[in-house]
Amino acid sequence: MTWTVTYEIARYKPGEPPRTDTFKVEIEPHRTVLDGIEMIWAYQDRTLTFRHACHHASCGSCAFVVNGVEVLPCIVEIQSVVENGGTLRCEPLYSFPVVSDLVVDMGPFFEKMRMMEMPIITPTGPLPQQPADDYNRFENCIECGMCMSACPVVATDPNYLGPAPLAAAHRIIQRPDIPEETKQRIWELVDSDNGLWRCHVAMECTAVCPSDVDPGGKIMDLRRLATANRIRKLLGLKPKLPVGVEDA
Amino acid sequence: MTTPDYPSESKAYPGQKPRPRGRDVSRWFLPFKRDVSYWGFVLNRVAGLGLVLYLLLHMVALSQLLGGEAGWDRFIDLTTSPVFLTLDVILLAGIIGHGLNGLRVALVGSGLLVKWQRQLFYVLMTIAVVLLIIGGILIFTA
Repeated sequence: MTWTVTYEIARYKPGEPPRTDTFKVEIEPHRTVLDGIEMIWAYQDRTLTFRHACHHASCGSCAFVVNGVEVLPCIVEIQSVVENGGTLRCEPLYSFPVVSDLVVDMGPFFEKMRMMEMPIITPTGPLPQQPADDYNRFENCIECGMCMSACPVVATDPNYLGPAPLAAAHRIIQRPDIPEETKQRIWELVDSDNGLWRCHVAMECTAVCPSDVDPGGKIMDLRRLATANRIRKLLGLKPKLPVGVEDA
Repeated sequence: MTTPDYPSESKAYPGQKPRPRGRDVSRWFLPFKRDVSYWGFVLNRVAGLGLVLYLLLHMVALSQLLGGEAGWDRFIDLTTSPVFLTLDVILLAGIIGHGLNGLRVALVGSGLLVKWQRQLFYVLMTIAVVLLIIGGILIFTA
């Protein structure tokens, strides 16, 4: 059994004004939203651009907004979003600069992750002399950018570090293998105007996260650490922050 | 602290100049299809802005005193009209909603009850509705 669904896709090509294109797709309801996008690209419009790689929610590259909510379209079934005859409104991730159609520039976001010492790939010395962990890291965060797109504070303040980088900082300052000076530098980034205090507890980052990273919870935990530390300081008690971190 | 500026040219796609998205304030007011916490965020924004507007109107109302006793009495008569009392109920809704939701934000924002923040929202909003009903009855009958 196939359904007929309509894809309304936000289109943009450099030098042209943004527009919306509509495509009708005949597709089985258990197929994914990304399957439909690939069918459009294959049979209707070869100029449609979108990012994808793994098709099983581990690379985080295909994320975009469907009917107002960020999703990983490679794992979201059509029938979980619309009924037969329904419409899927597809937009690029919010708050990110648009390169083309559904492709956004992740560069500024990855730069913030790099500031938190959580780049996707860590360049180090030649492979044979180094353990694999020095090259690749496999943490729960897949850096899809959905939390950044969903955050209403990132939407109005591009200087805010944002949920994923703060969740990365939460991980880094507790790792025993990170040098103390690095942890201290990160803590000073985190405990600042553009850091954890900018969050307004909308918690949508946690709601949309496909990897259960719980960035909102991590930000609140960082705040608990910072608040408790300030109270301890006020009472003349010894600061109690993760090992290697001192109050700025 | 500095965070990186958004580059005018993409590093990932050399030669491409991405279309910047700008600051989207509408996201503060559009909670549809979002989590209940986002509704709480929007509630606090709307109620907070409403209360700021009320404070300005309150100043204007107080300026009626400059018109002397007669002017003030006329204004007081106006405040007992059903339309004005309805505005009072809306004001009360804003104060209670912003106050109780603000309590949730303060607790969760300090790292307390984070796992139960949704339940906390439902409980506090239930209390808010009960207080609003009692307050509304008192405003129209007392």
